[in-house]
Amino acid sequence: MTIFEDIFNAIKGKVVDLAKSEVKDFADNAAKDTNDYLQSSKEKLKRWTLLLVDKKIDGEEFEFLVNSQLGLGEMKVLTNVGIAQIKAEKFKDTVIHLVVDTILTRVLKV
Amino acid sequence: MHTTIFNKIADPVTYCIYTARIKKVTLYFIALLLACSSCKTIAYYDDGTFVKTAELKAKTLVLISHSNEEFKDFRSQVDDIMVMAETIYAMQKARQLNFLTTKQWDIMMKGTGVSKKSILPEYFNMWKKKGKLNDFFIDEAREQIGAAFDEILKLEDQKLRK
Repeated sequence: MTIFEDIFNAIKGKVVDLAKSEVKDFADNAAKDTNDYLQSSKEKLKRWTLLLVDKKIDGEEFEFLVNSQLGLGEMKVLTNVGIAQIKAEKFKDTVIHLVVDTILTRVLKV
Repeated sequence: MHTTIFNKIADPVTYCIYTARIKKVTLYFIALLLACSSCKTIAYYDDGTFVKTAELKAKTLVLISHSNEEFKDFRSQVDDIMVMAETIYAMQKARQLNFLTTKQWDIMMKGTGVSKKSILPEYFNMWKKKGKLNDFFIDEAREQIGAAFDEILKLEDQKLRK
């Protein structure tokens, strides 16, 4: 039990700090990205509606632009999901290396 | 000096049995951890995909800037772009663990989820149907299509290198 407590205590602090910084960075970036998208959607819809009212674009063109903005939103979600997966993999690899290094040092004395 | 837990065991026989067992279990555990590290959930970065997608983006945006001219004069260039886009799309579908990028290409090429219509083929279809497009629409659509390519490139660029 003491061995595992020893190893656990050596790893715990580092992993918690790493998790906090990784999750916080990702959450901050994703929140900023979403806010930027919503803000730009609002501005674009306003601009496109004015172009439609002024007959500078027609209904079909307006529909294309709105549809592309919806598609762009979906793409951003997919990008953020992908980045979260990639960060999770990086985190997992870092933790595994940390655990292995700690065990090698404390148990096997390599 | 660094000490391990084994230094605390006084009896030599117990020490040997204990350390041998612990070391064996530990080696199994390390092997298990290393096996876990090879479990992937998303594809690795692919340089060919990134370069080809960036090239397609550049060519598409240049072609779009000509869409205030007659479509018939650019028909073969549009066909070339669509062949290039379909090729990259097919490549993404064939890659292992590439679900998210493939979904992005689905949105670009055929429309899915909330966006019912495609982005790239739909633009060229409108150009073909109308003969030529107006500058107000071209400016707005060019920005949208460029941004869609940027999302695909951003995700690819973030993927882990082998």
